[in-house]
Amino acid sequence: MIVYGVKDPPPLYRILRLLGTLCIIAGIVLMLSPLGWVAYTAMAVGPTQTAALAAWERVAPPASPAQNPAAGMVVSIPRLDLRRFVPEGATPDHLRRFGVGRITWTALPASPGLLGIAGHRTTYGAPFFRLDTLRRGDAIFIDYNGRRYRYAVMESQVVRPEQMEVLAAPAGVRGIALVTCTPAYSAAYRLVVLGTLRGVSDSPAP
Amino acid sequence: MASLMRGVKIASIPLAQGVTTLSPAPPPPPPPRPPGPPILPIIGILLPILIAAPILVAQPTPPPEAAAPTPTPEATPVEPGTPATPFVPPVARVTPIVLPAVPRAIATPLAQAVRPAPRILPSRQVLPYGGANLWMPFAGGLGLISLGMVLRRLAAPP
Repeated sequence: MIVYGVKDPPPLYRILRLLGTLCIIAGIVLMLSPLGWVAYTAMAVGPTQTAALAAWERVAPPASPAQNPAAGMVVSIPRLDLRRFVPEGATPDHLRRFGVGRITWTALPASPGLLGIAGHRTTYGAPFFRLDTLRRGDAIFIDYNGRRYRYAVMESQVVRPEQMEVLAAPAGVRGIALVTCTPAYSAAYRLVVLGTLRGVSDSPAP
Repeated sequence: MASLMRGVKIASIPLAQGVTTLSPAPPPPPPPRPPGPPILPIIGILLPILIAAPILVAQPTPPPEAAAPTPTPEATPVEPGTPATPFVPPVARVTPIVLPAVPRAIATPLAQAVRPAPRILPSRQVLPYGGANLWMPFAGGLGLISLGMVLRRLAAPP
């Protein structure tokens, strides 16, 4: 059938059209890539975190109160419905495997100072995705060496990544600092939730 | 002439019946150019999914009985109004950290995975990296889609 009045577009237009189509396809793939990254990292950290939590809950509290840095701890935040095993170390490798990690140069729960725990906001299971929803007085529990440390949220701060002083507690103060990136989907700033120790008890039986 | 026309019936010729026009049919109007990809619906679909993705893929939380706080009577709460500093640790540690002779069972299977990091100040002097700049590929993709739409529009023949 002959169609009158319609001509094939010049090659330049065909190339432009092809380039435009390729750009659109690449753009859609690029826009979808964060979804894939979030899902992939969640799947990567999930089994490790689950196994670590299960191993933590299987063992009995140690007979000796000596602190074992290799054992790690467990953080529980009821408002966030969060319970995670916290390894010793908040290096990128630790955070990639567990999603959270204790900043080693901060205090241990049994010592004066701030216990610093860093966690991912959107990837690797997103343990601290809703950290900004914590309010003053919310409870944070740390199970460590057979003891349960109960903290209460006091305030939240948004600081620059280089503002390390936020983790320096005044002398004698015992507290906790949960650190994650903010705003969500960006690593431009750090959200720091600060809490103070309210009490210590024996860890509940697993 | 009138004699010639006598007895002759003049009938109109049904030109419209079975006779096609000799001139070529006007070309059909070009089909409307397919619109570009609907970018707004794409963004409208992808953005909520991206925002909700961390929640959707979040790990299941262990049973509530394991996570629920169960303060025991042995807890030593700090009275409101007083700072937390007066708290006295149950066992004052005056000796250096001593690893137990028999480490906890958790240390055995996870000995490699939970290897403690060196207790030193971080070299980069920044608070630990806890997130990802996921907005960058999203914005890049948005830019590419816009560029593609512009290119396709330019490719339309005049």
